[in-house]
Amino acid sequence: MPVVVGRDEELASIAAFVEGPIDGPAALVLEGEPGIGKSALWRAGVDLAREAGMRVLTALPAEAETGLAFAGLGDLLDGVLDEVLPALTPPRRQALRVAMLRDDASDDPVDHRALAVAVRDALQRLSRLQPVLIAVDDAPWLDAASASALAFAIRRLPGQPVLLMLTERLSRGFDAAALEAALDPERVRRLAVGPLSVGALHQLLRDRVGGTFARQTLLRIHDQSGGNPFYALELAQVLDRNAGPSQAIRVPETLDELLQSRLAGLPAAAGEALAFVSAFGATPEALLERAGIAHESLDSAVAAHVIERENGIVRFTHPLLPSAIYQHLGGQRRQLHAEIARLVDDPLARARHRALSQDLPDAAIAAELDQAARRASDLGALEVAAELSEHAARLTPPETPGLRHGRSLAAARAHQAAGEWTRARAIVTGLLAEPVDGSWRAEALIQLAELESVDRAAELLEEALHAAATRPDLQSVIECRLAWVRRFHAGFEHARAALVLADRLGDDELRARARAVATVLRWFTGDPTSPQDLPGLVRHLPGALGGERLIQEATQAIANTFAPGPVRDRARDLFEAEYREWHERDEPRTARALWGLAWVEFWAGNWALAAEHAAKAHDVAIQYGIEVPQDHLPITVIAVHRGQLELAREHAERGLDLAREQFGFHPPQHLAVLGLVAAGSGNEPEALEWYERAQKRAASLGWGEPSVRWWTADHVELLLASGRIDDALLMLDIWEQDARRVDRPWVLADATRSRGLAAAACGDVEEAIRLLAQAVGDHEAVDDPFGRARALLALGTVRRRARQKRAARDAITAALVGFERVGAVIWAAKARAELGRIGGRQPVEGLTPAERRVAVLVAAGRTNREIAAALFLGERTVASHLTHVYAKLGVRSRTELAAKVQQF
Amino acid sequence: MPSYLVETFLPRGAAGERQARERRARSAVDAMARSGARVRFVGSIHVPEDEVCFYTFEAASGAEVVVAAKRAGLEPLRVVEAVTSEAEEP
Repeated sequence: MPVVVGRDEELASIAAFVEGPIDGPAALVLEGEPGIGKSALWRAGVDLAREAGMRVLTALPAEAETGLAFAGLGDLLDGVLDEVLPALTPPRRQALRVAMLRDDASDDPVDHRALAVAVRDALQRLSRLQPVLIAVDDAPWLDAASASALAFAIRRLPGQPVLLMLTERLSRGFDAAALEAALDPERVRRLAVGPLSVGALHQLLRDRVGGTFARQTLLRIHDQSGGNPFYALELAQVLDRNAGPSQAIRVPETLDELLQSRLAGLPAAAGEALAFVSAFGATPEALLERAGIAHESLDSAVAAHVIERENGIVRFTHPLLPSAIYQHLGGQRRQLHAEIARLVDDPLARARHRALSQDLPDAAIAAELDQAARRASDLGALEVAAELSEHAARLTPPETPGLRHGRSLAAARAHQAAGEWTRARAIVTGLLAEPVDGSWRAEALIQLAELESVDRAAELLEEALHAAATRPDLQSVIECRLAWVRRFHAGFEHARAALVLADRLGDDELRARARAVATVLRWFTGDPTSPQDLPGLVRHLPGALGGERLIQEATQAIANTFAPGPVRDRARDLFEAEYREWHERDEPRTARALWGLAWVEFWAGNWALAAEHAAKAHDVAIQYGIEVPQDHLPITVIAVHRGQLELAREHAERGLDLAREQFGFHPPQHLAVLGLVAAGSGNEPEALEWYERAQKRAASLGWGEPSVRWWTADHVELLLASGRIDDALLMLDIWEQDARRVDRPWVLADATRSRGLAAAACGDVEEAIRLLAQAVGDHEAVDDPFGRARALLALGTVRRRARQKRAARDAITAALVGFERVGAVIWAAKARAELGRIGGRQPVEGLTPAERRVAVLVAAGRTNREIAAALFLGERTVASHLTHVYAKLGVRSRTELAAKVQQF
Repeated sequence: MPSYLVETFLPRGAAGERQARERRARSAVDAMARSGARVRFVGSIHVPEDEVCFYTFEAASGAEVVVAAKRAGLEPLRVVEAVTSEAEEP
């Protein structure tokens, strides 16, 4: 390892970073002015990491390479690709192979997310074998496509032994690397690389230049260079080291001047070669040969340490050198890029250099760039696609404005897909400031609507509708978008208008999209004629609403229609299939499937599993920056029911804030969950207030679908408890009517239970008992264990008040068993409190809590071993509890015990 | 005898190395003296800010100082003749 002079402290910091314990991804950023010695320290750090047994992946991106898709990733994975590819699943393996140019994109474009996930998997695999260091010199020059894929991967490697070592220049206009932004700030250590001391500089000059310097000269070098080693070395090359103190020395004013004078000293042939390399980046010698640049012409530049040759590649010894050359090329620059474009094989690189060679419009080049942009998009290199589209638009002749506008919009879409919304917005806004004709104007407005807030989007789409007056197909698309943006207000009219237009055109695709939007909106209004094949229809929604959007409302419609009740398995199968399909290719889509599964398992009474699905769905949404207010609904509902009130409140409040941000108001369900939390906390007046607000909001939105007003049963119960029987009955009548109209048996079961409570409140005990017993059966029929337990509790309470103690105890005990089975902590406590009011002993009640838990699980068919694992007990303890249970209940077998428990 | 300054690079973190070098310088000149060389080690001047330490020798010639410095592992950046004066009595 070459000695790095005057950097002992910095080297010690780097050693501590690479040799210390690794508890997850972290970065060390070496920052300093250009030429200060960051790269030398970086190289030393790479060596230290290798000596410490790390797997080191390196990239040295050059300024000229920033537009090359995945060039950086290719450098990093060079040498390990064959090792990691076999370990990837097929879609991910293919995505990586295509990006690394080992395969063509062929018919299926590379999903950039599949590629990013492939990179994550590759790093995960490597880091399982040994700690990994990703070392990038001049990290801000890393091409955007590579940076994006790596940043994605690094955010998803928590706890993995992966470190980053980056160098970044501290100079005006230089942004921090995208890679650094992938980590939390506390995981990023910064190491400032400052100037060398006089002594260190002298040591460096002696080692690199040979000989020594008069102190006077040395001090002048130190002063002029500011202790910058690169600058000092350049100065040392041109100064007379033994100049006397009285001798005038002309010291170049700036580093650039210094570099120019150094480069000017090289032969013209070398200058030509250097110009080429400055425009291309690290250049294969074979390419230089094809350019007619003789191998020998590089010798003088190599001897002068301006460039170096390694493994057939020529690169500059320092990144400041190509910048100095490229900046001064002037008009020669375009010719150079044209020459490079002629020589390179890679179509994307060729397109890029063609673009850089051209200042004036050229239809053929613009068309070539347009095609290259599509290819880049197919490769998943969205940032490159965006850059090429912009060049294509720039070079499109003004006589073909339509083409230019189309290419500008393509650039905006590519930027948006790459997450660069600011640039996307700037392009579209710029386009709209021109005299653009109707149809293009409409398309630009549609695009801008996607980038703006809901209120602004509605205005823009209305304007687009007028601009598209001669394009009924475009108007149908706009009406679909308006239907969605206005879905909480007047969406249905727009959906209908979209369908009318589609029918008039006889366009099946437009018709399917309009139907999909209309179907979901109609579902929310509780329209009994809504098509039943919701899953088949909603797959057209993304196309209707612009790209692969994740439509929560559609998932809710499917979940609410199929999940409660006998067809639950259909919903479960549907969401599980969706999860499996998208898990390998596009993780964000899995968030919606998981969200749906959360509701399925909630109604099935598998609350722990439901909570897991809901948390994971939210986690994926956060990771991909697609969090929506609805993400918090299942988390809140499940948490309240499990007695986790703080968690529930936190998510309820977050959901409300997000709804305000994203929708501009508070939707009914987000108000209702706060009612649920208040009720769970025993604050009934507050709960009533929230429920009332939720009901009013639902009514104002025309929400006729009863299942999305799921809080109604709780609302009715509270109204009854506060003596507002008439209000409760009025609400119940409407809800029940809605449930009958759209055939929602699980809502009807809730309504029957509420009717039973209303009858009890009115003093009609017999009717109350009849209705509540019916509710128990209805809940059982739709496989709703929690609803059944609530009905049993209500029944038991009514019976207790009617002094039917034994029957009351039986019902409440059965309710308690039901609540415990699903984990309804608060309700189980209510059931115990009711039992306490009855008095006397009952066999099941005589069991200890532990014995009861064992009894319930035996009744559910579990073995002693499974029960021991579930309850964190030893098997002998389980057996002992079971012996006591048998004795107390007077049973002799598991079958008899199950029957006893099932009786209630 | 003339005096000479041996200029060396002494990194900030290695300030303790100064005395070790002094010990090695004394050993080196002692060994050279036994074989008849006329060289004496006087002391050192450390300038921490510049990461420079000067070691002062007296010798008949600069060549002998260079030999002594190398034997002592001082890795001199420069060896230059210096003129010193003792503080005069008032």
